[in-house]
Amino acid sequence: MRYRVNPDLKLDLNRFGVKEDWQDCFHCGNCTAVCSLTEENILFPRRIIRNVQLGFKNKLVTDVDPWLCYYCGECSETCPREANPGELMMSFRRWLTIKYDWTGIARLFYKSLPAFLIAMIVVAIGIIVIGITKDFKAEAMMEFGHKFEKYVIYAVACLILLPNLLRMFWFVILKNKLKVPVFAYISNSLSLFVNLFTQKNYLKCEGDTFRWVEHLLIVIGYLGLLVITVFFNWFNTDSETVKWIGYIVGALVFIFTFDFVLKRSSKKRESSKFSHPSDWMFVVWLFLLGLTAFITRILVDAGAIENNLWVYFIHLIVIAQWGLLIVPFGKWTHFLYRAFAIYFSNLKQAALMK
Amino acid sequence: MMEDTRIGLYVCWCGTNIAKMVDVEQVAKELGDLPNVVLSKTYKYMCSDPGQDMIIQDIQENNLNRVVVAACSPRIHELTFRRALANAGLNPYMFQMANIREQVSWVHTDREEATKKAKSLIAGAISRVAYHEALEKRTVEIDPATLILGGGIAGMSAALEIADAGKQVYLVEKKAQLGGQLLQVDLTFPFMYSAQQLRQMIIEKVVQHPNIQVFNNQVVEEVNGYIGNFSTQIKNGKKKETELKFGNVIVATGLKAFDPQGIEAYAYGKFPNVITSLEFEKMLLKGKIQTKEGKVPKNIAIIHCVGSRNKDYHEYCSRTCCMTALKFANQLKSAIPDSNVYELYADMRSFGKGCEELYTKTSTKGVTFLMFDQQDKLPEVIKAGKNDGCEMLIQMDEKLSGEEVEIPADLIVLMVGMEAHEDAKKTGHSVGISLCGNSFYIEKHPKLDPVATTTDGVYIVGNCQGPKDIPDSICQAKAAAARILGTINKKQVEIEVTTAFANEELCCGCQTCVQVCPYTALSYEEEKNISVVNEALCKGCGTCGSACPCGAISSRHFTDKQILSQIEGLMEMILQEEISEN
Repeated sequence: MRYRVNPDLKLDLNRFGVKEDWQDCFHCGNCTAVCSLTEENILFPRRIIRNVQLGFKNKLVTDVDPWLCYYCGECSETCPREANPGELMMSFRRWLTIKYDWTGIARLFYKSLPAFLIAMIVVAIGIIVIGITKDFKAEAMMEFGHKFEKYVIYAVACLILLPNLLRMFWFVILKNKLKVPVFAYISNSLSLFVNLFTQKNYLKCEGDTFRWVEHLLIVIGYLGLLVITVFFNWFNTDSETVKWIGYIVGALVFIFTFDFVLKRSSKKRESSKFSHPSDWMFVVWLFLLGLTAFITRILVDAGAIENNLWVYFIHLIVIAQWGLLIVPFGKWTHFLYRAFAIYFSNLKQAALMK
Repeated sequence: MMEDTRIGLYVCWCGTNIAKMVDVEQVAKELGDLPNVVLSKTYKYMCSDPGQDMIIQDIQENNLNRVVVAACSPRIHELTFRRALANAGLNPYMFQMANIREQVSWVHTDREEATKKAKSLIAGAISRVAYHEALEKRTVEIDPATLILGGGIAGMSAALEIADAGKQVYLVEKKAQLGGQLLQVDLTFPFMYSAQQLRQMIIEKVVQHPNIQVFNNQVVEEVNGYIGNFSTQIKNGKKKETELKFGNVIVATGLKAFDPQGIEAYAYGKFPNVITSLEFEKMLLKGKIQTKEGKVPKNIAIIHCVGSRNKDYHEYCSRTCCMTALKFANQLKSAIPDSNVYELYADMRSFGKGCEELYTKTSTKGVTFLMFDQQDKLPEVIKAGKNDGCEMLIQMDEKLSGEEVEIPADLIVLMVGMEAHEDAKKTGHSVGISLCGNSFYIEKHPKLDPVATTTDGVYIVGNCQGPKDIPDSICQAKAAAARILGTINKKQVEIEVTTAFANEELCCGCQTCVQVCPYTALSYEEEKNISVVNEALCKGCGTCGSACPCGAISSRHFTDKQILSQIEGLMEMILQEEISEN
């Protein structure tokens, strides 16, 4: 297959957060040599940088490897040209995210911050309008919130996430004309779930154990909070066990996301040096989500929720923005894509082995 | 043999270098008994000041008239000891050296055998030195004028340097205009000075200089003579021939661009929008970058190493094309900001002051660099299809991605390499210098004497010695000028003493020697039907002497008698050793 060189892709990628620096790359390969995730058939970042430099769009969209990188930043630290290969990989994942999204809304949000902010405001106004219709009554509001969460989850999963995953599958496996043995789909499914919840490959990034632990605790906290609020109606439960589990998972979310926010602002770590608006939205909203949920439940316990309904109201706005915008079209999807990338990568290896 | 031959033998220890493998004391003692050897000594370092003083003192006290030193290679210290002889009042050629270090102690492991070998080598030297004759230093007067062939940047720089020192320069240029390659260049890398401004600045000085006489549209057919006393005929004006006399020659004839027509893959001549770097410079000089159809190109590909670093064309690197290509990319990006510029290179060789920086700067300007394998497969220019949105496509195996790629192109610039002029050999012959494998002129020593040639008084500067950029050319020009001013300042120059000489009586006029002489030092004199040696040109290589069928030519200091006696002495010693062993 002969690929057309297309320098316009570079310009396009520049709109996904990457700085011009990466064009300085002269392909010494130090980044690949130092990367602890590089394997015989999985060579990055150099190979990907080259493909981006030459603008092989059709090839790049079928590339699953960028998702296997956890951005420890060692490549950027080692790069003799200070070309920030790690950041290129990050930006490239943003580009892939919009390629997987069938609606085109992710593209709009990633490229235009004003568009995203307008959408956030519209959602907030929507919630306020609903609040007005419910006369800002605590009970009615919370009942609405509970149902709303449930339906949004189903809707987003069925209409956005699942089709996008199928698109990813189409790009990565079908477009590459890989003949995956049926058995491989089954034998690798267990590791899919392990990776989905633990991101254990993260541990292969040298010296980043604490970052992984933090990340894991946020995942546990976030999923725990989701289950406990949606399926166990945490805000209105009488069960002591459910209540306390809720407190723990809620605390996990806002405590560790707060640390993530701090790290992003301090820019000390290689992976937090450059932040795209989508990165900020993701951590800050996750933090607000955990914090407002936690305070809401405290107020419920203290019997003070009637007089302080605004807290829950803010929580509802945050949840709505999160569920309707950030989850389907923002950075949230990396949670799915990363795990499925490993799954698809394994399928690819199985097909190539055959 | 003369009655009063008095030889002093000195055997050097060279610290332990010789002494550990050769029994120097035994050697000195035994060889001291040979006829004519008046005294024989050993010393730790003969080349040291006390060592030399010892020789000088012995010569004076013992009336020695010949000296043999057994030590290292004559290449290292022959001159040292010759000077010592001269200081003692002896003719320096009454000296012979036996190499018992490089040829004995350093290369053998058996001390006894090594000592034997040393003895026979020294015996040969003792036998030879008895036949040495006094040779006198010869000097020739230097004509202070200089002839410079080629009016490019190198030739002009050398001319100015010499003329500024108050000496006459004749500057001969083949073309109608001075300036050479600079005439064809717009901006110069890496600092983007205007080549035309540089050229004007230097030409003005050259033309106005009272000590420089410029001959345009002229070619020097033949230069006669030798260092200090060259001459040539030149047409002054339209018809009148004048004779120029000069003491030194600088060859600065430059080079020419490679013709890419022979490289089929690049389709030069087939597609009108495939052009050479020189043609592109012309566009830049005119200030208008456009295709043959008069359109502004959107995709411009620059192909490096055209004719260079390729075993099918020239194996050497032309040294300036990478930087010129980077310069082009910068000029293109500023002239047509939304153009796509592709650099197809084999290896990026941006050495030199400011050049790597130029590469770094260019790489951040959105220029796409693609690497091909020069030996494996060259990129191929083909006609684009109707839907490709461009006129041509370049197909190549891109090395850094490992993919087969195609590049859209509206204009393709071939970075043609540089090669020697077709008439380089002829020009070289006219001044008595030779070519290396790539048809560039060969220097006297590639490292230690890069501007001189094996012909004294003839220097090579600039691109005729090999491709180089402007500063390098000017450096060479000024170096050669300094060398020439040095010899002019001395007013006379020493020439080789150990030259060939012909015995008129024996010469049969066959001219074999004339054909074999690499320095054109031999000529045939028709009247007498004999060969004549021009001793100013002769380097004493001995080729003529060994080729001469009549034994009419011999070399001074290497006469048959001297060489045969050396062999005799050596063989005698070996025989003697064998007899004593049995």
